[in-house]
Amino acid sequence: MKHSRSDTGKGFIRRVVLRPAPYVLTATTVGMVMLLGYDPRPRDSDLVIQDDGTAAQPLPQPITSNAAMSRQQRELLKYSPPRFEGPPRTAVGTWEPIRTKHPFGHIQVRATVTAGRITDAQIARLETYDGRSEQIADFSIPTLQLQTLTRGTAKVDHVSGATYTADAYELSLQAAIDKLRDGPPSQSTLPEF
Amino acid sequence: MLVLRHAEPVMGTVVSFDVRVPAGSEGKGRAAIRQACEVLHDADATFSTWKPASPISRLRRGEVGLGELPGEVHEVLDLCTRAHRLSAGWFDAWAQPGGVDPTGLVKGWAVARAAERLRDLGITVACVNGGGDIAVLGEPEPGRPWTVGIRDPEATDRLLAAAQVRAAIATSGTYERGSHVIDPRTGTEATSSVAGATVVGPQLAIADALATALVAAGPELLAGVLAAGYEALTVGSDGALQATPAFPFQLEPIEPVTR
Repeated sequence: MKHSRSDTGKGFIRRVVLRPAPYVLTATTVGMVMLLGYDPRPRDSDLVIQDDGTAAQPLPQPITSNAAMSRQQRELLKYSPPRFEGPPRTAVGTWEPIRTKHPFGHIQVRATVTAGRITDAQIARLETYDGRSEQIADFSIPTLQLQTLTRGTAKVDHVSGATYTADAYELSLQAAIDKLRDGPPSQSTLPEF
Repeated sequence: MLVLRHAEPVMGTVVSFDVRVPAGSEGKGRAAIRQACEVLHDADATFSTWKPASPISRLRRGEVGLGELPGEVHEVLDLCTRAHRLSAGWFDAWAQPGGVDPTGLVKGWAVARAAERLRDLGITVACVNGGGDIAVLGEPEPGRPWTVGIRDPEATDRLLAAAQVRAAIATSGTYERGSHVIDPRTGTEATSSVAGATVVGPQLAIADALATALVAAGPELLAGVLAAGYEALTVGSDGALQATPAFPFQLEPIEPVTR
């Protein structure tokens, strides 16, 4: 894990460069077995759709609190795999998460191990030492640890963000990307809404 | 590789195509894009609740039975059923004003279908983006998946993060139009703490529905999304980010390749 800082003049950007090689594997196949051993999806009975498009029976109520969640969902919320020492000798699979330390907290890495070597690794989750992540919930990520990019259109291929109207499209990052390198899109006349 | 871009106004938004073809195949690529656009317009004609003559509008008014409607309607309602189950009831096409309304996943379904049409026509590398609902084929460069920036709902020109996408990514939230998500418990606008939700996974229609469900339900549904086999990132109205453990963050921004 290598960290570098760059001041772009447009705001502070922290870069995290993943270097898989030095990791010590602390994952276990138990985590995968736990995920694969049962079907954890909610077990609502199948809906029957009637000819008029309505449901044949009353629909299950949405879960409204942790107490109403299924046992499996609660287990997934507090899911934390046991640790083991030493990498598997020969295995292909994806282990998640692998925890290791970095200068501003714990990092969880999902790694693919082939024949005992990490062949791919991705950041799965970050928790800072300031404890903020623990105060929020199990899925929390500190904002500062993410790539926060201003004028970041050059960094990505496309943008996801619920652009709904043609007007909004014109203003959107996606429109900027469409025009980025190849001139305007082949059809640039937008309809009126 | 040639980069072919096209923006098609359809379904009340603009669908962007980014299709990569070998040099000399521009004609084939452009023809495939045209056919994929037809898929989108067909979906709009079938599922637009704004068009009084569309099959879905006629179903909502009770003028036709499901048996008289095309197979696409059955397919989409089946997806709505799955999405309802996977979201623990938070995505509910049957709890919408005016009767059954699959709009919450139709855009994702149509965009994925357009990408499938491209694939059927021999396109191997493409990204189809319908207002943030994105389906991809292949990789823009060998070994590098498509990188998709996720917009900050509070600032239209800012990105929260970037994700590596191998199949589909969808975002829902309080972006331009404010909250458009209905809370199935009350039938009124959702008031959860989630301002934006992004879901990554195998099927765009389901990702689209789960993103909508997260906005209605709040981050406690993240566990359910994970159990459904999808990864998600939510941003709260206070800016707090939460994500499932294996959300495919792209932490090292990739500079564009000058072509």
